[in-house]
Amino acid sequence: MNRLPKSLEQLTAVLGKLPGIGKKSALRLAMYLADRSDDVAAEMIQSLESMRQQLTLCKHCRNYSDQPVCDICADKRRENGTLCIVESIKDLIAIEDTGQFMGRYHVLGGLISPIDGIGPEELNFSDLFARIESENIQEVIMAISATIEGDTTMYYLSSHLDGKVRVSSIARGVSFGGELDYADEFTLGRAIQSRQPVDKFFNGQ
Amino acid sequence: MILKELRIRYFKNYESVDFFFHPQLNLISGNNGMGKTNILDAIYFMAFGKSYYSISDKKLIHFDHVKDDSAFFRIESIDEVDCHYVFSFNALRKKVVSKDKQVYDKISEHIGNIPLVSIFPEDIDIIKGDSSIRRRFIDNTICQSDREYLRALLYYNKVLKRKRELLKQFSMRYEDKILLLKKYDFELSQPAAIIIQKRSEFLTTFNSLLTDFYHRICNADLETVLAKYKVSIEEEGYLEAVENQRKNEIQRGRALVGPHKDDIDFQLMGQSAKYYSSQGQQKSILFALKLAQYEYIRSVIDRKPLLLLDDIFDKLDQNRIDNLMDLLRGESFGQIFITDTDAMRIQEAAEKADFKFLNFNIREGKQV
Ligand SMILES: [Zn+2]
Repeated sequence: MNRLPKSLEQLTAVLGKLPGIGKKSALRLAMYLADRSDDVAAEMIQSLESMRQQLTLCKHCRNYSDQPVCDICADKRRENGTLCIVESIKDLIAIEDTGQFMGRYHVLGGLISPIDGIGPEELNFSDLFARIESENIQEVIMAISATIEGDTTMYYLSSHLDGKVRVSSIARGVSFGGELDYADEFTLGRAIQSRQPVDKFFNGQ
Repeated sequence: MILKELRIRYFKNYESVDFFFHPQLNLISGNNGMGKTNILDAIYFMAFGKSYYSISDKKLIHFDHVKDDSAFFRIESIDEVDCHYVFSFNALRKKVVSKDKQVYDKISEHIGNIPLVSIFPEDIDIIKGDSSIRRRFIDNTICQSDREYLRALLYYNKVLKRKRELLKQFSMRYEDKILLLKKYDFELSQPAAIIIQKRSEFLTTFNSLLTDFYHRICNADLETVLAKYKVSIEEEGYLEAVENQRKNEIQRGRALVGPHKDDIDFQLMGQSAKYYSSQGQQKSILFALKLAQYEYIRSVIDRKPLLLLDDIFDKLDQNRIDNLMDLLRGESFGQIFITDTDAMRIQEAAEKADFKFLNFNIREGKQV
């Protein structure tokens, strides 16, 4: 096989590290970037650099943000006493796209999973509990996938929040096969509207 | 059920071979190490989606091809109603099973499609080995005839795996651990109750079959055999039992309570066969167990399972071989597969019992 020049080979190798990109696609993308006269490559270099310099996680909710506090947390209108707890930023974006939720978020960044060595302390729940007090949260909505890990995390959180705030969960299982970000906007939006008090999920346990 | 055809590709020492089986009896002969047992293991894989020998799927790929990135193995079967099952495995796409080209979401959904009972020489560990082997024996029997049991068992094992990991995490705060254990134990309580109840019901039915077959195998009407359920939890139920042990579980870092601690004591004349029986008696108990298992599954699902007998005539005298063959010739048995190193010996025994059969001679992964 014809060997590539080193620069192109390196670029292909880096692109091949991206999720879902195989060897062939990586080469195709590398050649595209090399060929173009309208200089997509320059734009990419610039946006990668500014992303690296600016992008951080919001210090309140751990959403992506260019500032220390993200747009959602900075928006006074969203200070309505409800807090939606999600596993990942992907889930946050999915719910935000429905336009049905007007409160704020908290991104856990994982679920309780002893198999992966993740317990309550690894997920910094104390930050979450502190937030609920300081931001005067009245209702916590858990939008967490219907897996054993999701269930366990919900159980842990609701037993700590019980009696302090109203805890509800969006209808799970039927409308979105375990993962929030696969749900279409309509069903997810409806699920948020018709959320249930969390004790219904645990038969009073 | 009857296996008309079996196609094996790159499985163990077979590169590519198609077998066309006899509906009644198939005799597979050849020297040791030539691949007789691998044919039975391929049939076993069709039924349960795993090797009898608990070998990882990757190691089942033919050794000449296993280093290849695109290495795979595939086993296909066609039954008497032309139902076409395909199991395939490759390192990238993992294991897939399909029925008439419809792929199943989970391997477990296929369990029960091909009912099967097997006797391998290693099965003597059901009597001599540790309790996990006996649990696997009853689980395998009930799972083939009861979907609810299979689901309960799968869920129980899934949550138990998490509970065990949790118990091993020594750095976690004690209150957190207690809280999470409560949640896992709550999740375990329902499947635990189902598993225990169904095991107990099963053993009641199973015991009368076991005694019957033992008598027929040994021609000894006076010896009593009993599979006694040593249940891990008495009347109090899982939740109460586990709460009583919770501190102990945390201290020792182990899950001490639940059906994964059940055992079965096979008793001959009221004494534990594990400790107080001869090798010959143990072998007879094993045959009786397996034939009773066959009869149990047959009566519940109203289909005749496949019966695999691997090298079981070794060290049996002619009398007992004939006796066993006569028994297998009976109405309730269906298609049978027997391997033996001695082609003449099994052929004569089959003819004597008036079986119709086909002979397969195996040499180095090929039919000759
Ligand atoms: Zn934020």
